[in-house]
Amino acid sequence: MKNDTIAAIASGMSGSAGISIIRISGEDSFIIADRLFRSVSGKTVSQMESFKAAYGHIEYEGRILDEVLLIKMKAPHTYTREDVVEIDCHGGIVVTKAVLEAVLASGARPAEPGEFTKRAFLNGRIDLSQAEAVSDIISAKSRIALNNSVKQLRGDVREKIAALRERIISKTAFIEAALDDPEHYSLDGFPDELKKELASILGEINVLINSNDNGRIIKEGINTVFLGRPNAGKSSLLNVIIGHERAIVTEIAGTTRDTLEETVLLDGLVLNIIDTAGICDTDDVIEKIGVDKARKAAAEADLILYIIDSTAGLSDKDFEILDSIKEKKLILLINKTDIASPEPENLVSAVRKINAPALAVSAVTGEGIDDLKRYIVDMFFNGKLDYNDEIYITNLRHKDLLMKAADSLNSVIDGIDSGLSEDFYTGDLMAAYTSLGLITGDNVEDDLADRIFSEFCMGK
Amino acid sequence: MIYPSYDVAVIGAGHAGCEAALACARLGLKTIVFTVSVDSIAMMPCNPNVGGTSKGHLVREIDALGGEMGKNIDRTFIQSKMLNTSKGPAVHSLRAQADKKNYSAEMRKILEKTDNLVIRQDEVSEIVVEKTEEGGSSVRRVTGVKTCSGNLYPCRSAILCTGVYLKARCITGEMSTYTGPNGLPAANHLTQSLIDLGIEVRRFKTGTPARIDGRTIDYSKMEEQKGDEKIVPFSFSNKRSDIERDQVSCWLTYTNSETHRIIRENIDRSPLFSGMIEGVGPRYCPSIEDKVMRFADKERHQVFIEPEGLYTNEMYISGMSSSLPEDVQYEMYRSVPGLENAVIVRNAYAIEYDCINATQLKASLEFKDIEGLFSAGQSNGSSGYEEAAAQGIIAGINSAMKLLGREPLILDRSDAYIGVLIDDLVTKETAEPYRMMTSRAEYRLLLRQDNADLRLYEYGHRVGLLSDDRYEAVINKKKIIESEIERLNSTTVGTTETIQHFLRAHDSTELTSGSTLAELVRRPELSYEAIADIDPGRPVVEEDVAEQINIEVKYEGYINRQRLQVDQFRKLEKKLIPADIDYDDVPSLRIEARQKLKKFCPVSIGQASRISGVSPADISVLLVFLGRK
Repeated sequence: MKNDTIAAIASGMSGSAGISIIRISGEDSFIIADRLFRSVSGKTVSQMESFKAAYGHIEYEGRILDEVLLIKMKAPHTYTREDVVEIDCHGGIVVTKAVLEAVLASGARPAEPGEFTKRAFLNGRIDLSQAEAVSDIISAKSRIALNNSVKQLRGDVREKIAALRERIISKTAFIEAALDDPEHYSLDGFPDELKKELASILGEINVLINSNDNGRIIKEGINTVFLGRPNAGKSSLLNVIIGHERAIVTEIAGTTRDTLEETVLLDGLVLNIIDTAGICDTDDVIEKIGVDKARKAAAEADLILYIIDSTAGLSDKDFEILDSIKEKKLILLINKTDIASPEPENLVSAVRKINAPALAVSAVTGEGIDDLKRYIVDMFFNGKLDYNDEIYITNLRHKDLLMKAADSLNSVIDGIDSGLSEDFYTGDLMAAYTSLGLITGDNVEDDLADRIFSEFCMGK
Repeated sequence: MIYPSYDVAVIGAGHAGCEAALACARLGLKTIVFTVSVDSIAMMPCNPNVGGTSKGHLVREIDALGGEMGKNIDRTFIQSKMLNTSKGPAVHSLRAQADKKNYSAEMRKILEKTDNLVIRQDEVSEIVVEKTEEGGSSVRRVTGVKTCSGNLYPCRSAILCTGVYLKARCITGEMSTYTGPNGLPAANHLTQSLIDLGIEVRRFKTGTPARIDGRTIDYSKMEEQKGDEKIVPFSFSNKRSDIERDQVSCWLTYTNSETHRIIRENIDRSPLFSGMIEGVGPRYCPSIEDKVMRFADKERHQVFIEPEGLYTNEMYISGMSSSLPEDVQYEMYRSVPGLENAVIVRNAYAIEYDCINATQLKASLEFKDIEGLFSAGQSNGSSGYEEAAAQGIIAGINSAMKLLGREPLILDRSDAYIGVLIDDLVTKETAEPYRMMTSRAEYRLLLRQDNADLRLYEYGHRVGLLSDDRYEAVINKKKIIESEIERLNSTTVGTTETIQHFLRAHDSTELTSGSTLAELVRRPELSYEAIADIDPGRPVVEEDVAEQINIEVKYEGYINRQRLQVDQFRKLEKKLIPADIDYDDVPSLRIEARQKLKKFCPVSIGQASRISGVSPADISVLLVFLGRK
């Protein structure tokens, strides 16, 4: 049986250099890859042997996007039991996203969370351990990220999409009412009116699609910023939390000069962890850039973990920084408790002055880290912590759905132009309605029947 | 007394009951059908027609499975019309005006002629269910039905087809009577038995307009609505020549501002607005007072005057159902052009009745937790004769399949409108009487009324209701269609003067290079029929075969796209959820989804995904959980 072809970034996308894998699955995988991949050997993906890798470039619209390693895997011995192509990209987030966009523009659609696994299951192949491993991600991504992805929409964008849906369904309901009750409602002349309306709706959808291209790259998740004075131990704590060495940690204050991002899965919650340069007054130009970035990251954070070096205590600088972020959700982390005598008197009283929860942690012994994780998860589920509401449509998924809606509406116009009867294209109208609804998180359910009954006077 | 035992007891002999009883008896099971009045078998208490948009599809499907409704309306229609012929083939719908008395009488004859079938006039008051231990768990099973007189009819399966009769109450203005339609006795006892069995019962409402003495109608003020000249039979076993006859006309008139004024001024006397009616009525079939109040800006509403039959001069006033008091009805009807001197024979009335919540049923229409008890028709919360009959044949077939130890017949949403109807009823909690609509069928380009035989003949034959002759005939038809489509795709025509001349004559662009005949058929201005002149190699085919060829070739792109969607849909339908699943064991399911899944016990991932309150994310979680096991 046939399945459309899906693609997604399969590896965790990390902010710094490293390999990101784009996975494409479905019967058009090889054809789609061939549209983009230029191998050094000159062989096309279709000509390549299965389970072989080839080195080459991804070229899209005349531009080389990245140098990649491409692996071809022919069905059925693949994860999804479909034809699969994996592209190892080397250029970091921006390039990886560009490659993925090129793949999507060449005929794939973005995979829903967990869809690769879902296909593996549906196609009769499920690997026990793999299913276990990805199931957590599916539930996290789906349950939290997807449910909340709606919140990533700016209020005005959401309203705009809702208004477009409204216009689409009201036209559809009229057609269906007329098809259902031809003796009461006539569709004479309606296609011309519909065509005008669709052209206007398409115009608005295109504006939304273009706005997406200018949006900043964001990831689904809670933007969690590590903040503190230089050498308070931010990077060491981050390493403990993400469980592996990422940031370069040295004894010299000011080592982390840029912001660093890492995605951590915490009991089904996606945290985008952003490590920052320590905030201090500095003349060092590079360091100054880092400090500015840290302040900016703090301003956009959903949650700030403020690290205090218990051996150094709280300085005026700390109070100054804390004052600048007092509107933010904040947790104080008293670090280096392995060195300092527990809770020095002056620190305890200083911390009490700040209106924020405080936890004692040690990056060296790992003390308090589990408490911190639990604390963050509790905050989220108690509604004290939320995703950033200020985020614009940036998500590829949203963009893809907008494009899908536009495609459906264009099919309607084609249908009208070729003189087809209305019943052929109401399906496309509803497909556009559904695609837009997936962006705003609205279900379709029985909307259409409800509309027909409430707006049109039907029946005997 | 205790009667000898039956295999199946069908409770009710309306449109659902007749199909159910016929299916069981024809499959060789000893069947008894109960009715409160033998004279009301297959009665049409409301509109005098069968079919219409989407309902016509249902009748065709019933016929394709080997049911009776299509044949019976072919015997008894007095006007026939194909609706929506200016639209695409998916929404063409056949509708026939029936001679009500004849329809009922002919169906009764069929029942009486059928072997293994006994008709019994009596009111069933109790379903007898026994609890037994089977394989370590306790199972409830139907063992008989009891009538009001206290007599017991042991049976192995029972089918509820109680229509609008359970605790029925008819309301006209301030007056209400505890009767079924047309003054027939209501069935007042069975509801309690259902409640005692733990079945959730609801109260719905519907209504019907007045019947007016035809001699008192001035048709000169109305538009005549004639039947089609080329009649299409409902039943695939009939040819046009078998059923041609003289037709009678219907008439069209309109309400006006005066009608609306009368209604508005008396609205406080409407039981609908005074709260006297508790039942939930359908929005798509509103009473005239409902239309006037809800669509206040509409200046007029259509009113169709339809004959009730050749045996009577009673006329059905379609579009003006009402429960207003008698005096208001008189005033209101007489305000309509042509009805100034109308004499009412029967008042319009609303009827309230008990029905079950159909989400308690499996897709086979058997109760999830009572073995052998099935339910079909208006008692499942649907409305309409056709919807009832469609459920009736499925409940009958599945009752038989169960007793014969065979697999149930489950039609899915991509097989038939019947599949859409039943899936909606058992999966979605509809808050009002459910009516079929073509927009409810997501694969309607495939589920056409013209191809119901091709879609369903395998099922009808496998079950045993479709004769070998008809089965062979459909196979043969299918072969001809396929080979002819193949020929159109492989036959090319060149840019000869004959071809170009033909195209010019049909306002079609001339060819610049060779083209297949199929490509020409796909041109909007041409068709299979139209290109006959330039297709000398064409075999002689029947009209219905030519229609299939034309549709399949002409709309190939759209049809193929829907087939792909169906493939996707079927994948999820095939993923079955084990009956013993404990949703509390599934991590990460949202609470609402967990509750809904527990309540509905969906059989497949596909069905689960259609339950409101179960999100795509929940489905993914469920899929992975099932994969782990």
